[in-house]
Amino acid sequence: MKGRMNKKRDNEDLDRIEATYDALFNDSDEMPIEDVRRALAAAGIDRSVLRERLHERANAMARAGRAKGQSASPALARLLEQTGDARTLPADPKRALDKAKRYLADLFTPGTGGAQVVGSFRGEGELSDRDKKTIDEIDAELQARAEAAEKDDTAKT
Amino acid sequence: MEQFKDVDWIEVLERLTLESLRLFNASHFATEERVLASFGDGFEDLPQEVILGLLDEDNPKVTWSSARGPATTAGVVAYLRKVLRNDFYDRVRRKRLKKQRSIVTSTADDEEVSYLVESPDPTPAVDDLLIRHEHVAPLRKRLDEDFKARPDEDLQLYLMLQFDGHEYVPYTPRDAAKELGVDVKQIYLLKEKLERCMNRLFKEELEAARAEAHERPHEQEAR
Repeated sequence: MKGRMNKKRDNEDLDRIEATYDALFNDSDEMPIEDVRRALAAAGIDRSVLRERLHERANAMARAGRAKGQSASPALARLLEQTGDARTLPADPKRALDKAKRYLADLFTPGTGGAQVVGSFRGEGELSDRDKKTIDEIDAELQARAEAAEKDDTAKT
Repeated sequence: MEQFKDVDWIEVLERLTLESLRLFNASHFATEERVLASFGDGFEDLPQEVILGLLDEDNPKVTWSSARGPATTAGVVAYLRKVLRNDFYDRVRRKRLKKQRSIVTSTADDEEVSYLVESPDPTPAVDDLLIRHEHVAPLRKRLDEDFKARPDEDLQLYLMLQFDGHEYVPYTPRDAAKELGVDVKQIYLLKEKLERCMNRLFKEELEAARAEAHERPHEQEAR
């Protein structure tokens, strides 16, 4: 049956791995980045740990270069900037905006843990009972939406 | 002018990590348990190595040629994915070479040295075939166990078609669709479902391994 296939592969290890890869997975070229992140989260991979490890290794590379009298290339500096602490923004406004956008997007990426509503009140005087009730209703609605989205994700996976 | 100014390195890292995880799972499925373990590298190390390899100006092996055009995130991912695959295969090859039998068959010092002579194209021994299947079994076995808890007839049929033959020759999506009598689109959806299932199993395995390491920290320290 399988002998009728147009392209027969031999049994070498590498061909087997490649053939298995093709049988198990679709092409990831067109995969949206959100799906990539969802897949990593589903496999138990902590993206922040990945980022931190790359940052540490890149930092070590930059230090080794400095020890030889070489300054970090612009690309390495950019990588360090992107992978550094998400709350530290670069001086360049465009790059700062890009980093802030990524930070906010990460907060809403699925699979990063249970959602929690955190609110703040800004106004004059104490909160009235009516204000508190309104805020509680908004919190409950946001929490319900977040839980529904999370449940939907779990069902998909 | 900065060559990689438009590249989102975090996206590159995440896409390559998924690629590495897939390769790891495919090799786990196709050949041996934990192929990477013996390299001393995990699937998370390879993507970082290739990214830093590209940024290392002293590394002539991984470079962005101007012929490829301006470096974009997608372009860098496509290029580094090839580099990553080659690195991965190099490690598999090196490991396979290490496992080759010595051609010297005598062991005792006083024994006359004799050499193993193999035919140029040996037929795989039964033992060899059985060992191969034994290596395939664990991940496949876990999938089968998972199907008992969460039956999925279509996915099971797809796996049987692809991996239960005497010869190890997976079908292309078009051929698989033909054999199963379904639309080719259905095969792509099945593969998506299969990847989600494998990722879930991988997570369970990872959590179990972490829990074990947590319970026995003294052994980790001793290494």
